[in-house]
Amino acid sequence: MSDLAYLTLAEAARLIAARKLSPLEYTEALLDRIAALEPVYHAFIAVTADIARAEAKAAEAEIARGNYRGPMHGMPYALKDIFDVAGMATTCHSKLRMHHRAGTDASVVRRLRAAGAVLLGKLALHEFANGGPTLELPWPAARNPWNPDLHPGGSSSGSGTASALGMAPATLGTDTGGSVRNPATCCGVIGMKPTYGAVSRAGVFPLAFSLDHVGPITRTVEDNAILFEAIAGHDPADPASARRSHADCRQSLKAGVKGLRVGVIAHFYEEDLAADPEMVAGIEGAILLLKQLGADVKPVRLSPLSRWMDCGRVIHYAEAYAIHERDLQERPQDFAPITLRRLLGGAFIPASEYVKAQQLRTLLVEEYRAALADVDVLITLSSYDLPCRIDDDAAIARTYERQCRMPFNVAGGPAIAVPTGFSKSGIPLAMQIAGRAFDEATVYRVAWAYCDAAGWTERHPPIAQAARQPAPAK
Amino acid sequence: MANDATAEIDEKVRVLAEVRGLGRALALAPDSVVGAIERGRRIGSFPASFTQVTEPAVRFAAAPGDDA
Repeated sequence: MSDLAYLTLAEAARLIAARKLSPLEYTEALLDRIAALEPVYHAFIAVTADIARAEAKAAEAEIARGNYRGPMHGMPYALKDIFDVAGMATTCHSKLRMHHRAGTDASVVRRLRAAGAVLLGKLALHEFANGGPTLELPWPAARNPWNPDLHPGGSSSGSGTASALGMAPATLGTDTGGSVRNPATCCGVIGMKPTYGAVSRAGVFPLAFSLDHVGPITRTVEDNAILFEAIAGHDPADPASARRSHADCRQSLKAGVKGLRVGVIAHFYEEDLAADPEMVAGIEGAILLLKQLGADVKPVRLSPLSRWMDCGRVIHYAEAYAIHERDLQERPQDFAPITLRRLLGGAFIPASEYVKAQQLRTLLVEEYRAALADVDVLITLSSYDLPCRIDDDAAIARTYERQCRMPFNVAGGPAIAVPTGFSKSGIPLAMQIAGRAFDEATVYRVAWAYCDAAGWTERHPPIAQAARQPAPAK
Repeated sequence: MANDATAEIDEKVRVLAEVRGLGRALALAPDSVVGAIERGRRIGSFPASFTQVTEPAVRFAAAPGDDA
């Protein structure tokens, strides 16, 4: 079982294409693993075992007839429970949405169905992708795979947990201020926020329209690129969807970084906001390795982190409040306290401040583009602190927004979180690699070269003792 | 005097919350509403190139002239 659990998506795809791995056996192995680990880690809100078995059987039969659709054919995946799947609730991990039923699939779900993928289930998140880790919701909170007492990052918390624990080789999350990259950081996996408009948001419950992105979370960079290619592309159902086809990210994936120009935004973590020394040591080790691999590394200065964060937060809070205003007025008691507090943050933002944030954003987007005229990618930290205990509200309040992911939501360009090692306590460290708008290919290329040389993605979490008990009988 | 000032602030909070239709939220989580009013969510600094007529429509493109 564990061998199949930690197959990479790329390896599994090769075996499935060669008919050496049965999609149904693979799916059954992952369903067994989910059943064994869920009582401790709570990555899933709903396991769609019947759908998974039916889709796996159909894929297996089709491949046996010689009709192989591509690397997602017969491939198990799971979705943050913010994506619509026809006939299922899109709960957003909230009491307010327990009785919802989606009429149609989200566009990315349609693409994955068309690619022959196998839906394992829907994953835990922070309430409406905005709350924060809390134990006061109708479903338990996902736990950190490296230590279940800690929070796993969020808001796509279940996506990070399920990926790291070998429950699913492919998961999807959403990212408005870092919600794909934060769980990737905390769980030691790969999380990509693509360019705004590169992946359709149609059928995904919004948090803040002009900052929302859909992104893949996987255990390896190659797997992430495969999943990104399966979901990217123009979608008329999403008004923000870019009218362009994305580049082939896998063609140049393993071309190395020799001669590539890497800009380091060190002032974000050296001057603007002090980071945990272990996090800084992680990125410094990564910079050294990139130099050894032949990258031309140089410092880059952008506006101070606080300006990027202010801009993003005003837009985020104002747009999120607009979406939830009616429920905040009529049934505030149905939100978790942490979600209520965060959503209310948008109630008193003047309209003029929101417009000024959008004006500022145009300047910051230009600044970002200008910075990338001289370098091929940018790197900086992801989180400033190691994840704290999931039940420590004070520590969560103190540390949760200490991050530098929001600048890339404001700038709109692709940004990926990759592990840079482990703390003394065995918790993953991480950095981000960001690139020009619609240049995911170069971001993946640098991420692959670094991760291949560093080897951190080959390490898997120790399974908590409580999860080693036999799985419940089916 | 201090009590009068506190009462005045509380009344302002109540009025602001009521105007936004958040009376129930204020009763349920007064600290969250007060915190939201006090934070205000304002931008602390702007770059020198910011003007009152800076265009707010964002365009994402890899390079100037590139049509996204």
